[in-house]
Amino acid sequence: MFKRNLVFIISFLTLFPFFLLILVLSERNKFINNLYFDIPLIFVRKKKCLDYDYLMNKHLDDTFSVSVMDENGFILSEYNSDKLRIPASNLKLLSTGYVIDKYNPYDSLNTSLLVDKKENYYLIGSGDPDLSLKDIDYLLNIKNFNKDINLYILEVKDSNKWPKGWTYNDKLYSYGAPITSLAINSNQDIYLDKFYLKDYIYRKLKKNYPKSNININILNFRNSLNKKLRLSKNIKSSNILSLVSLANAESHNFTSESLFKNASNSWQYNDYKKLKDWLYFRGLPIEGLSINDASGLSRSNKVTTKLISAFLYKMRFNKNFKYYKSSLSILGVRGTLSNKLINSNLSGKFFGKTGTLSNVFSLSGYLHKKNKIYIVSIIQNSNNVDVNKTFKLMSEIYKLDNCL
Amino acid sequence: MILLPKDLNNALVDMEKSALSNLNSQDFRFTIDFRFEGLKFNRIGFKLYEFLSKQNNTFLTYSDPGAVALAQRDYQEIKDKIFTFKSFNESPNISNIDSNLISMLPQPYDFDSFEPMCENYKGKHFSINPKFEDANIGIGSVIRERRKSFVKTWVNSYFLQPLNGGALMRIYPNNWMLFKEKDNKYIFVKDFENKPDNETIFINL
Repeated sequence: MFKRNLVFIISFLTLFPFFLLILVLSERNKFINNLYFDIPLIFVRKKKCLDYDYLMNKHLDDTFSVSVMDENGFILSEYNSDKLRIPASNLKLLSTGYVIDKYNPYDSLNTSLLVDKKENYYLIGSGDPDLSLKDIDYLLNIKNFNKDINLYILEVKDSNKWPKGWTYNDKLYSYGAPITSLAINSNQDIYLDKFYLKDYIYRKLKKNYPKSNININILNFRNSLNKKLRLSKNIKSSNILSLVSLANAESHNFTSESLFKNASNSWQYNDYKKLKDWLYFRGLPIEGLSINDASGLSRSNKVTTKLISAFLYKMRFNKNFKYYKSSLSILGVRGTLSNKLINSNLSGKFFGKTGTLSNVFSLSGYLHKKNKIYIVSIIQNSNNVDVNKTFKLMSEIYKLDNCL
Repeated sequence: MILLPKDLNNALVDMEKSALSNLNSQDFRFTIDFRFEGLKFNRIGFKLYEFLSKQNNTFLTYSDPGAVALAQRDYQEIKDKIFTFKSFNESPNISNIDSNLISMLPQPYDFDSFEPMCENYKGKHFSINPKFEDANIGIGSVIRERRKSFVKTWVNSYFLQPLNGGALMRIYPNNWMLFKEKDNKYIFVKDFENKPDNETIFINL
């Protein structure tokens, strides 16, 4: 009896991955697909595709890394695919994947005014990129404030405002705006910071309640206060899908950072280990991976095209893949790729993400070719970045026949 | 004298003129084509929406949920009027014949969701920069024929394209007009009843 059970258990354990693989490849069942997405296994195999290998070897130098996969998990070609590269904004493909997996795409971020038993008020944000002073006015429009108004603004520590690896120069521009939880217009104007907000709120309340004593203090952000608070007023952001689309299609750095901090519950610190662990527990090749932000602006980020292509392949099994893919830029049609190769055959066929930093250009995503979907990831790290060469390579890959 | 628009704002005014003519015409499906780089198509779609909604109830449609979500964020005041092709087709609005519909940048791979919506919608329908056919997609002859007959149901409303040494424009119901560039100015060359092909353009420039 024991022997029979043992045989049954061994058979089950041996055959289960194959059974799962068959179900997954049939791509019919959303639940099974998502189950496959969540397990620490990935079924990818190498296929010999001489045309693809010839194309890579002929056109590329050592500054490039490329991975090409087909929709069935076959690796068609690899070129320096294990080499660690700075991905620039291609990192957003990973961080927004994390976000869309954790959230319902139609959820929102909240900016709230909370109140405790003693009628102390707490203004808590979650990095809504569209938060405006008008929204703050709405939150402060309370009918019955006490004679003593105590209001606390919760905001991240100054030391956490920028992720590691953002340069002094980056921080001077709107694309490198600080990542804070109460960011007026995504902190595009760095003078509208928490001290400005404190002053603004004070003036606003003083005008409306001239006889009240007004005390406003700034506290360090905490995800939950050790007090029972009730909601006084709340403002919802645009839905998560529109914010993920903003992060991917328009490559909005603030939004990608803010979304990741919310999804990973990490407003109090800069830690991207959760993203790395999430990738690891989905069976993805993370050897040498270094992640220091969610937007890709950090020069300390290091990834391989092997990881990006495997990730994009596995994302196809995620329950929210339809939304994830629809958040990407489309070559010649929308987002950061809208003005590229408009009148070419490739126009409208590549859904992906660009990445640009000095000495970096990256392009990764889904290529639609002859009713099939291919996954392509290209990164160049060089003092002489050649953007045209990357697009030309993409066009050449599009022209190649399917590898049978 | 026929002139090319000075800037995008002037082009949008021309687009509105042609759309107004379309509303009074017997046809129901119209294409609007701005064939140049650097345009924010959502702005064009919204401008057309503003114009058409003064005449009638108007809806904006996009290929996928991401594009819809982004448009709803940018134009919160008309959030409830923005749909995907699929969700609009499944909504009661599909039967609203006393309305206008704008479709943004439909692509060949959207055909399966775009075509059923078009077939079910009986109001005035404008498509901005549509791409209906793709010679490279390996589809059977039956589907190819179906696509061809579908394309024929569309009438051009507005078209503007810079060419090498010239420009091509059409404002419905006028003919297609070809302009030649000379000393940084565009001079009207010839008009055509149907859209001129590349060879005709080449000969006339």
